[in-house]
Amino acid sequence: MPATQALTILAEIENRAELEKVLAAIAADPDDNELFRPRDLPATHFTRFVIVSDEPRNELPPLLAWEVNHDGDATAYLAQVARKVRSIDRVFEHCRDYPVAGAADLDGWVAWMRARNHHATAFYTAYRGVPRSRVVNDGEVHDEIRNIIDRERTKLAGYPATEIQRRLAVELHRRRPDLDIAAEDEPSWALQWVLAILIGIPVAIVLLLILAPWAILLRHHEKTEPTRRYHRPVHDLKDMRKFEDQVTQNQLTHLVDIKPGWFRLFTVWTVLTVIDGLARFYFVNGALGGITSIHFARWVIVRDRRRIPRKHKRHRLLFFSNYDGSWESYLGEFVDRASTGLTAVWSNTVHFPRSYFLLWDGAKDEEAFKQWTRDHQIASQVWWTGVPKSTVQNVRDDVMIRRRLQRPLPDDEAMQWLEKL
Amino acid sequence: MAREALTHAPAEPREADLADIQGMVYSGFADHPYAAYVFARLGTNPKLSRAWLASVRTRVTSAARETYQPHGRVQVALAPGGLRALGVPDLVIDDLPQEAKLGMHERTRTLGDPPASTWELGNEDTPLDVLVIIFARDEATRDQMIDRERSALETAGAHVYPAELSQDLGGREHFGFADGLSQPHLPGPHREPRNGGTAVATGEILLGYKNAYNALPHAPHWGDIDVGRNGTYLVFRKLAQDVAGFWGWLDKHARDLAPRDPAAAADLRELLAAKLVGRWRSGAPLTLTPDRDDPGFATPEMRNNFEFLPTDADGMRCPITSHVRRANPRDARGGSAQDSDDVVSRHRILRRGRSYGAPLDDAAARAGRDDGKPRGLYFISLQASIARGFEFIQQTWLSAPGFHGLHAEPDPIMGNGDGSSHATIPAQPLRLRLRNVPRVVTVRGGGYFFLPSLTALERFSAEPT
Repeated sequence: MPATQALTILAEIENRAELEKVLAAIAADPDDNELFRPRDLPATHFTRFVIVSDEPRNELPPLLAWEVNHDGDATAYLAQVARKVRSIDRVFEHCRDYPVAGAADLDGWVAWMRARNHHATAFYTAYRGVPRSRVVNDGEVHDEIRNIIDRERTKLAGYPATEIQRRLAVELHRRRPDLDIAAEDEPSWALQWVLAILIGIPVAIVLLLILAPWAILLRHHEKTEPTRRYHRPVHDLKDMRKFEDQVTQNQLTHLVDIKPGWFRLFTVWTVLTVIDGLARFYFVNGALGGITSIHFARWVIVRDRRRIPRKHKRHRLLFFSNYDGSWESYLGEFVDRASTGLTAVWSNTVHFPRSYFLLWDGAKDEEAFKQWTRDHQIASQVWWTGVPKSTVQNVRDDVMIRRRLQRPLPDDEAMQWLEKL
Repeated sequence: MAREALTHAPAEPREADLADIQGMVYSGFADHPYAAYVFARLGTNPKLSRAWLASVRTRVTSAARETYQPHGRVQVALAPGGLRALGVPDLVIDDLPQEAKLGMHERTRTLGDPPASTWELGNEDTPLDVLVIIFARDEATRDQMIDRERSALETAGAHVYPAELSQDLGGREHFGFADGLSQPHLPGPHREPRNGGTAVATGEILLGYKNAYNALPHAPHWGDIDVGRNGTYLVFRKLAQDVAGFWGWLDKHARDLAPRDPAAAADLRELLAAKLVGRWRSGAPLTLTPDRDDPGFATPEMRNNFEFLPTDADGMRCPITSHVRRANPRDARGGSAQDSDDVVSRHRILRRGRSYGAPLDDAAARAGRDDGKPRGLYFISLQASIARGFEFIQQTWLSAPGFHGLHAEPDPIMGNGDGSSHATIPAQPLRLRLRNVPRVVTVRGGGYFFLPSLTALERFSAEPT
């Protein structure tokens, strides 16, 4: 099954004022505008446009970030965009070096985009291997099952669990023959584990060899690097809340400088690479280190390509997340359930609350961590979700229910399956 | 908390602090059944406003019982607008939390509330600068106290809104359920946890003390004075209850499920209501007595003496979507019981609400016949962080349609549902889902206030210099 991929296009902006107008027009109604409708691209789970500026310092050129969580191969997806949404030109024509022919020259356009695609050093998805078409189909299957039970509960309740399951499948197929209700085995992670061990052991050996000198350097950095005191509860700017605290899902875009010098760049890259591996092989059950509310998240290292002395370079860490619930609850989960992992990543960036041996303290300082997050959060101009009413748990339940609908189950498992409806 | 700063904050108030803390933090003043909530917008002359505050401060009851006055209790809460009108410098006000400065009317999306333009109280046209809370033993005293506070405010040039008057329903709320049963225990001098009530870290409620993260929460300072210490944030919400809508709807469902048996339908109606609330009318928890109301489980010793995971993880007794389980998920918020307890301990509030409006006759309620009179609940909560306290509970646990794996199911009582959402009652082999749950509680307004210490009130009523 094609895995969901992370596309992160970063293009230098030429005409910001015009671009902002275009993005505002899309944001006014993402489902019905003349410029860019993500719903025309069925392989899209979530997408957003963000202007990544370097205000107030303005040393680095402003970038347009296009974040996409899509199914299948990036080239195929981009080709589909070029074919179906020609008006994507109206967005990117305000960027530098945009091809004159635009999306009409399919190969040229895809090449231009691919040249600007930044690899996500760590990418997490809560339902790996489940394409958007499945998410939608299985959501409708579950909804229809709910409706059948609502109407025929008294009649169905007289049968044994396995018979109820059979009747539900028959009735569902009768009402909605368009839905796919094929039984499917749960994915097996055995092969993944073998791979993980084959890759993991050499990586672990290398890491252990460099561990001691690295740890000494780390403590030196942690003790001497400047940090910031946070002295008041969370403050923010109003436009940050545009796509926040909506009913079911929300987004967060976050941009922060990596601390200067090779050590922090190396450390954050290593940590993210480990997280990426864990996300592929270990965090495969809908929770990223205890956080159950993230649909898709990624970290992208944006290298400073200016020709200046290395010690003045400002590499940045860009984070995109699509999550369930409010900002406060999301940040609360960070602090309560995943502070070590997040501290390991973000203690390599500026102004982060002081850490202890990479994993400890840091994000445990609840008020400081929330304020730090707010300080470096940037507003998204356009945000679109392909599953607006479903939480991560909803999607995973829907998939499980469809997979087992037609599978012969022992009585107790059938009973458990019924409880999920 | 950063290692070097591992907090010198005290864990709980000392004896001397009690005289500095407003009394309602430690007491619901249940022996004063007549309450009034007097809201006002202060005048344009800060000097007069400060003179008013200095005078009302002398009437404020602290938490030190020996200072209790014989006739009634007065408490004073200030919104950021009120502090501004008193001439408190912006630098101090700036230290208040974001959500308090924005005000509840700016947080409707976060809370899932109807737009503030539909509110009676606290929208953009009716800003609430101050809230004077009055508790009296009898109605006549309450009226006198209201008159005194009103004229004090008016003398200072304030615009005073009509007083909001509480109605004593004998420990029940308008739907008929025992209310205010599950309060966390706030540590303090001479205070022991009672009846299985779990202790909350003092800093979750009162500023100036260690919170559940073992940290000292930020608080506003004015020069050298910590004006936050011994203060808390107060959330006020006027919640209209549609009693006929609630019972009429349930009665219809019950009769549909037991069409030929009125006695069975009546029992079913009570069961369905209990399933939505999570407790029976008496307050007995469904997790302890799933089949019938048993007042034996409603005693102070028993009513909070339960967890969900051991016997009720799947909600077969107390549904996941029920109000009490959403408002306090106890050990069942995910992960181990300990994980859950840790998370829940960071989202605890003290409730100090009262009902308003005359009760609706039971028979009329069951028949779905409303008398058109206003009634409901003045919801009041106290917490050191509104964002992590009240707002989190309302947004993440009550209003969220996807709470704990549910789908399109906000809290059936408090979730601001729009009539298109559902309530699932787990059962074997098949759950019962009540469709199109009507909105039975409607927000009519409210606001976010700072409930300062007496020290802070003194500083606010003095010249700013």
